[in-house]
Amino acid sequence: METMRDAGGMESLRADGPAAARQASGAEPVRLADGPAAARQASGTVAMRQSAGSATARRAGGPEPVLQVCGLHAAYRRNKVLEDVTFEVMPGTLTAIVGPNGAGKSTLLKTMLDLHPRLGGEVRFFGTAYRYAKLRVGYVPQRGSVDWDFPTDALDVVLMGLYGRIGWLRRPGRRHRELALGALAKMGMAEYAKRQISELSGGQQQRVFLARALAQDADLYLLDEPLAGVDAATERAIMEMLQTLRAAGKTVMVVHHDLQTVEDWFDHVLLLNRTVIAHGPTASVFTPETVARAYGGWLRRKEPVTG
Amino acid sequence: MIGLSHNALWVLVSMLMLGTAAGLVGCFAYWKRQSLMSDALAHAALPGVVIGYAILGFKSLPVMLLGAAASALAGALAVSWIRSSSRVKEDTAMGIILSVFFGLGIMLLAIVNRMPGGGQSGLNSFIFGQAAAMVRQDMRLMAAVAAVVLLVVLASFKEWKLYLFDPAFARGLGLSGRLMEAAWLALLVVVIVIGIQAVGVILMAALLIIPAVSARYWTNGFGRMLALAALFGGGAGVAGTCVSTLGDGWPTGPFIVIAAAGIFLLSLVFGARKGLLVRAMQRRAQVRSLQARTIRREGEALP
Amino acid sequence: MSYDGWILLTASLVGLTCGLVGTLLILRRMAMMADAISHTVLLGIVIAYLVTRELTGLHMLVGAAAAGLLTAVLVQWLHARGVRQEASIGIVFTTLFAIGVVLIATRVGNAHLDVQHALMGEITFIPWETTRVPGLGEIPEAVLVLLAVLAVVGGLIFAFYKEWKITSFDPALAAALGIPVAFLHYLFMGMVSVTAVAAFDAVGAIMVIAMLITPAAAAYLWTDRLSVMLLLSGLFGVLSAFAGYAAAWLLDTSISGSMAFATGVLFLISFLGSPRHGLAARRLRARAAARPSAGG
Repeated sequence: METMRDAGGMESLRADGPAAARQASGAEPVRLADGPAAARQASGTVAMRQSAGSATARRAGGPEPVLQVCGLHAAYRRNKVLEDVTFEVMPGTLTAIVGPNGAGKSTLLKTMLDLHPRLGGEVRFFGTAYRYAKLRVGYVPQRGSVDWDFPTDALDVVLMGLYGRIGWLRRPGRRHRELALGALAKMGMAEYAKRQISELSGGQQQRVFLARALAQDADLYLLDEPLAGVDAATERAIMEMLQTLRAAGKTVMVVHHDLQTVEDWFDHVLLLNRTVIAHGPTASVFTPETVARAYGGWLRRKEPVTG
Repeated sequence: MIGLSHNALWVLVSMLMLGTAAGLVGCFAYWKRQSLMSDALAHAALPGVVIGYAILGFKSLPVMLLGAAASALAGALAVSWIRSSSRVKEDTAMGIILSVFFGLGIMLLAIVNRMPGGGQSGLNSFIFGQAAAMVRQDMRLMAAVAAVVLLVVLASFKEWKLYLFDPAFARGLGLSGRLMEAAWLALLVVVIVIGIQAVGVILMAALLIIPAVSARYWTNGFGRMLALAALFGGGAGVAGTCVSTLGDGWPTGPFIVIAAAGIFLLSLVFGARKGLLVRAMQRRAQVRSLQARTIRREGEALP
Repeated sequence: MSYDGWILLTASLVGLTCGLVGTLLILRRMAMMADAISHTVLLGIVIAYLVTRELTGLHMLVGAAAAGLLTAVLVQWLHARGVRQEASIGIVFTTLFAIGVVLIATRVGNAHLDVQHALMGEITFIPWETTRVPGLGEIPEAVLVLLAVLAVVGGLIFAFYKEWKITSFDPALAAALGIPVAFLHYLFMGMVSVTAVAAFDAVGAIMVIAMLITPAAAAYLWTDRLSVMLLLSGLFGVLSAFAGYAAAWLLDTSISGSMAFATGVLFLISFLGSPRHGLAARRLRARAAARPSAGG
């Protein structure tokens, strides 16, 4: 995005004004989700539209949604980018967020994470506000948003993911280093630990970013176009890692750019074009009709989607 | 305006021209995202000024201006070189050139000031500008150069618009990117250099930045922005100069800048396109329509 | 200590402190902010003078630090209202500087507050303005102030090392982890202002900019580790101070100008010759990569 590229990473925060800065500057303690009571209260305050799959699970006394978005509105400059966005995400799902360019996919992530100002609506992580759940949410931004000439190595970047846990005046210890190395190893980057990040290829940089998210050991992962511009091997490595996370009960949402691979990797899909066109299990929701609606006839597919 | 001396009138006219030219060129800088480059180049001009003075042995404006231009150009090229050939970023490169060139200029100035017959090449006026102390010929030169800048910009308006907003298409039409880049640099350097004498190094940057940004708050159109920036710049030039005549030995530069800043504040708050007032009203309308919709929906959701 | 010794010590302290702060400055892409602050502290000094009618250390320090912070706040304010980063900087610092100059011209008169001095410093006077320190004798005031600033700046950088690192590299992640990005930003601006002010009296605005930016940029070309960059940057600052002083002595010219120019020379050497990121090394590597591999 244009703002992000201007003068380094700081740009994206500064553009968002005092409100975002205030939210970002509080060092509040982490409160774990308050459980069913709070979630029920949360769902009672605003009228919520249920999405197909989760409603039944909830009413049956099943797991609580990891993420609840209700009536979210956001603008970028003069244009409305998000319009009344509402959906719920259940734990243990791997969801692709797809939609045409400018549909607000990246903005959605940023708005949920208080990195972009919100015009209206409510977002709840684990039944509570984002600032109380920060350490349970892992965010992997677009690769281009960071200065890759920064003097640091891959291990250091991964260690940064642990800074939230290390605390103010302390240095990363051996335990943290081992954790970081472990995360790098999971992404196949262990031998690049001491390599300067500017020497890494695009795919390797993306793996380092992902390792950093892994080190955070979050419960919900939000990734912004992690597969853009990476080689096939890296794509497979990343997606396999995400599937492993899902198998471990974590929840993953990925802004995805490639319609062709949605069915290969993702069990849920969220079609977004300023507002939610459709959301639910890929098998039932990802159909030619919904895709056409999301892409507004801009897209011509070579062969129809089966099933 | 009645009691103004002939000289004062000349000062006013040249400040008007300077402000107008600066407003125009400042728009280009804004769109090229090189607003602060003018500050860097203005500082980088110092060694050239001093050398120009030193070679001749006496103060001759055209020679010093040529020296300033050469020096500023060298600075611009150096910034480009650093940025393209190393991992040092552009803002850092500008800071380096700004301070190092200026430091060199100070070194040379101290040496020159001790030369026989040497004396005031006028560092103070270089830093702050002393339009009122300018000689008639100097002002004529400045006004003439500013007029040329205006003509060049107006004559090649279409080319500039294309180059700034759609360089690929422009190249397809045969408009050489390198030619435009060179022309842009030349315009910038020329305006900086003629302005330094009047408003000083630091404040020249202000004239190149502030009117252009102010214009942005009133319009989206490139042509209209140019016109408004020229108007604001010229207006600030005149207003500032007038105020500076009220005091004894007051420098013109800072008053011009304050005038420009005043125009900017007014634009920021009241600007028709994206001034604070208009934005606040827009947002209130948006929130109200949002509330109306939410109420309606909640009404529908009730059993 | 001899006269020259004090001057070199003062300049070295400036070089050290500016090197430390400058490293973070250029990594955070705030070089032009340093330029801005170095000019707006003039306003702070002027107002401090008008309020207190005193020209001595502490008042100037406070006034200038306040001006520096004000600059940062105003730039941020404008930027949050949609003005581009560099345009915001340009508008704020030129206007504040202009106000400072107007105040000088209209209220102060040329007698005491010499703008030329503020811009270029007068390091030659430093050894004469001393205060008495118990146990050490007469120490130049500027040296004491610089030592204090170095201690504070160095301490803050060391204590919050990882916070500086992450907020410079990836502020979005930092915010997501709960690190107070905005607070650190203003804290850093405060550090820059205080450093600039402490160095002004000695070496003037122009040289402070040179010392903040150029040695750090040179160090950037030698290493890929932040800790090393910090140390090298300080070292280069000190080297420039010595080299500049020598040049000024040889050519009988302005000391601060020479020191500023010396930072440039050091940078040029690094730009061309650094084995890791210098131009020569890059060309050699490119040529080696282009050559078809001949075995091995």
